[in-house]
Amino acid sequence: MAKKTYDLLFKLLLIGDSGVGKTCILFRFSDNHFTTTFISTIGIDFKIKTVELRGKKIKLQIWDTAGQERFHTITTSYYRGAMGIMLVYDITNEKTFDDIVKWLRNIDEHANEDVEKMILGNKCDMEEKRAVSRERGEAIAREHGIRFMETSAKANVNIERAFNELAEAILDKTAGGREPDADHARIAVERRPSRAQHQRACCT
Amino acid sequence: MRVYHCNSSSYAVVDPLIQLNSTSESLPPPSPRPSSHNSATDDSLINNTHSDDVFINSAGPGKFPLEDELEMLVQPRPSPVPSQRSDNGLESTAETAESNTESALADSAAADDIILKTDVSAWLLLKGPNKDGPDVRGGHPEALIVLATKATKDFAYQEAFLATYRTWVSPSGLVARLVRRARHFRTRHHELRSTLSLLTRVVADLTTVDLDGPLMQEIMDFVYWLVETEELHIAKALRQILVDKQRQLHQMSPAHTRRVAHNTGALSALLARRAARADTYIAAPAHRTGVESDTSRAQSISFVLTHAQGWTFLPSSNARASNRAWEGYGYAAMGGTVCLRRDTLLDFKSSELAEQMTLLDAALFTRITTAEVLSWPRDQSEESSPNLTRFTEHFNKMSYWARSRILEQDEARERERYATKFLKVMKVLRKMNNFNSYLALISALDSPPVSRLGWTRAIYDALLDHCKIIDSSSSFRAYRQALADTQPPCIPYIGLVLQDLTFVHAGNPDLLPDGSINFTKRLQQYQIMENMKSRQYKFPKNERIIAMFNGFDDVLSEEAMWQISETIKPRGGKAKATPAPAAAAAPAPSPAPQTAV
Repeated sequence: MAKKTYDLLFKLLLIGDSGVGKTCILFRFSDNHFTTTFISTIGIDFKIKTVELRGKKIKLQIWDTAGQERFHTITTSYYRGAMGIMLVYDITNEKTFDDIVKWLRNIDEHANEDVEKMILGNKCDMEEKRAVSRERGEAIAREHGIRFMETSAKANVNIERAFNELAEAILDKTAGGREPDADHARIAVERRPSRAQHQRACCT
Repeated sequence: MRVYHCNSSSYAVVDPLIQLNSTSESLPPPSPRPSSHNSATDDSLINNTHSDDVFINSAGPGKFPLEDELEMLVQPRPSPVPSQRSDNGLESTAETAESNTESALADSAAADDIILKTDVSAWLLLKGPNKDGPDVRGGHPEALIVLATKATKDFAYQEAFLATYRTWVSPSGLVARLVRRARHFRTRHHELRSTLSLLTRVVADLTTVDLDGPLMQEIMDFVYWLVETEELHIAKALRQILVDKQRQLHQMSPAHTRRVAHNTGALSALLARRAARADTYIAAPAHRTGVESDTSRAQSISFVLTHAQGWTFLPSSNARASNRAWEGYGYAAMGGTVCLRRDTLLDFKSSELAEQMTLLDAALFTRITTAEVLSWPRDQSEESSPNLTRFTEHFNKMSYWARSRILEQDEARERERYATKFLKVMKVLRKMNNFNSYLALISALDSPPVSRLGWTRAIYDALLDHCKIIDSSSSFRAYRQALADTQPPCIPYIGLVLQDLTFVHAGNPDLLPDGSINFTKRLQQYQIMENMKSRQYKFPKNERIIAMFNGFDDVLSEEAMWQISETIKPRGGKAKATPAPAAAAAPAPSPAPQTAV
C-alpha cells in the first residue's frame, strides 16, 4: 500500500436544497480538475483536499449529491460514516432556509449521533437579493446548537474558513485531538451545552 | 416544363427528375455514393494533425478569426479562462447564451457566413496530435453546425452535437441555419445531402415544446421547397415526422393541431401529385438507373430516420403506444379502486409485480428527452423538464408507497411479510436491470421510519446486501459498475445522471478562453446521457396489478409515517413487545440488528 500522506481522514457531507450552491462551494474549496473524457464507471470523483490543522495533516473527503436532491434516495447508507455535515441554504431563497429544519431532522435520523454540523448561508455576495437575514440564520443555528456562517462561493467568502472550522471541531472530538482550542473565540455561534440533550434521540 | 440547372454534372444523375426531364442518354452512369470533392476536407477536419491547441489558419497566435462577431456570441461575462474558472458564473444557473447567440448569428455578414462554407476548419479547435481527449475541442457555433453535417467519419461528434446543441443554439435557430445551408447548396449534391440528413435528424428529435407555430411553419415551407427541388423522399420523411409530432400534440392543443393538419393536408395532396408524376417517368425502362439510385437514397434516408428514432428517447411510434398505455393505466387505476380493492401485494407473484413496475417505469422513462435532462442542472425548471419531473415524482411515490404498505401493518410479523415480499420483488427488478424501481424499493426499506423498527436477521442481511449498490463511496462505484455490466433493456437511476451533469455543468465553462464553444464540455454531457439509452421491455400488461398499484397514490404522509413508526417503537425506547407467535415465526430473534446508525 502507498504510504499514507495524511494523519487523519474526515468524511464530510454537503447537504441542502438544490440550487443553493453546494457544488460551487465544493469546487471553490477543492481544487478539482476535470479530465477530458467522462468514464461512466468512474464518474466524477473529487480531488480530496488535505488541510493542516495543529500540526496534523487532515484529508477532507467531501461528498456532494447535487442534482439528486429530488430523489428521496439519500438514506442511511449515504450518511453512514460521515463525521461532519455542511448544511447549506441560499440567503436569497427563503424556501431553502425553511427546509433547513427538514434537513436537520434527516440528519438526526440518519447520521452518527456525534456528527459535527455547520449551517452555511450561501450567496452572501448577493446582498441586494437577500431574503433571509443573518440574524435568522444565527437564530436557527443557536436553537439547534450548531455553528453558523454566511458564505459566498462566488466571491470566495468564508469557504476555506468554514471547512477549517468544521474540521477543527471534528478534530476536537477525535481521540488525541482534544486540546484546548484557542480559535473557539471567533466562532459565530458557540456550542451550547444542550448538544448532549439534542443527541439523545437515537439509541437502540 | 421546368428547366433544371445543375452545376455539377456528376451529381445530376442521382436526381431522377433531372434525368427524367433530360432527353440525353449520354449522362455518365450513376454512382451510388458520389465521391465528394470535399472528402479531403472531411479528412483534414476530423483527423487533423496540425498545430496543437491553436486555430488553424488563425490570423495571429490565439486570435480567433471572427473574434468581433464572437464577442456578441459570448455570455455577458468575460470569457472564462481555466485558471479563473471558479470566478465565472459558478453560482449563476440561469445564464443562457441563446438570446445573444441568436441575434448575433442573424446579423452575420455574407463574407463570413460560416454556415455556407464547405471548409470550416479555420473556425474549429481540434485536438493536437499526441493529446488525449476529444477530436473536436471547440469552435465557432456555426462551424460546429457545419461540421455536424459532415460528420460521416466521426460518428461520436455528430451524436454529441445532436444531444447538446441546445446549450448554444436554439432548435429553431439550428433549423433555420440548416435550411439556409440547404437552400444555398441546392445544386451541390454532396452538401445538400449531408445538410438534409442532419436536418432530418434534428427535426425528428424536436420536442412538442420546440415545435411551436413559427418553427412548424418554417419546416413546412422548407418541405414545399424540397418538393419544388424534387427532393421528394426527404420531403415525405420530414412531413411524416411533422405528422407524427402532430399526433403527439393532439391532446395538448387542438388549435395547433388543426393548423398543422391543414398545412400537411395540402402538402400531402401536392406530394401525391408529384409522386404520381414521378411514377409515370419511373415506369419507363429507359430510366431504370435513376430509379435505382432513387431507391438507394430512400433507403439511406430511412436509415437516417430509423437511426434518429433509435437515439431519441421519444420514438414517435413507441411514444404513441406508451401514451395509450399510460391512459389505460389511469383508467384501470380509477376503476381498480372500486372493484379490486381487496387485492394486495401479497396476492401476486414477485416477478409479476416487478414486470408491471418496470412497464410503468419504462412508459415514463422513454418520454424523457435529452433536452430536458440537459437543461435540468442549469434551470431546474419543472416546466421545461415535465417528463423528467414526472419520472422523479414516480420514483418517490413508489418509494413512499412501499414504506406505507409496511408501516400500515400493525403486527411485526405482517410488516416482515411485506418486507420479504419487497425483497423478492427487488431481486427480480435487479435481474431486469430496472435500477429505478430497484433503488426506490431499497430506499423504502432503508428509510428511517421503517428501518428503525428493526428487522429479523434474514431481512436485515438481505437488505444490507442490496444497499451495497447505492454505496456512495468512490462516486457510487458499485452502482456504476453494475450499470456498465448490464445489457439492455435497462432503466438507469436517473438521479446519478443528474448529479454527473450538475458537476460537469458547474465545473466547466461554456466557452473557451477565446470565446468559442467549449465542445469538450458538451462531449462530457453527451457521454453522461448515453447511459439513458434504453430499449423497450416486452411484458404483457396486467391490469389487475396496475389497478392494485393505483398509481402509487395510496401513501401516508411523511409525518404520519413517523407517528406510526414512533407508536410502534417510541423514540429512545424498544419496540412494543411483539406477540409470541411472531417471534417464534422469525428464523432468528433479532438481537437488535437495527439499521439505526
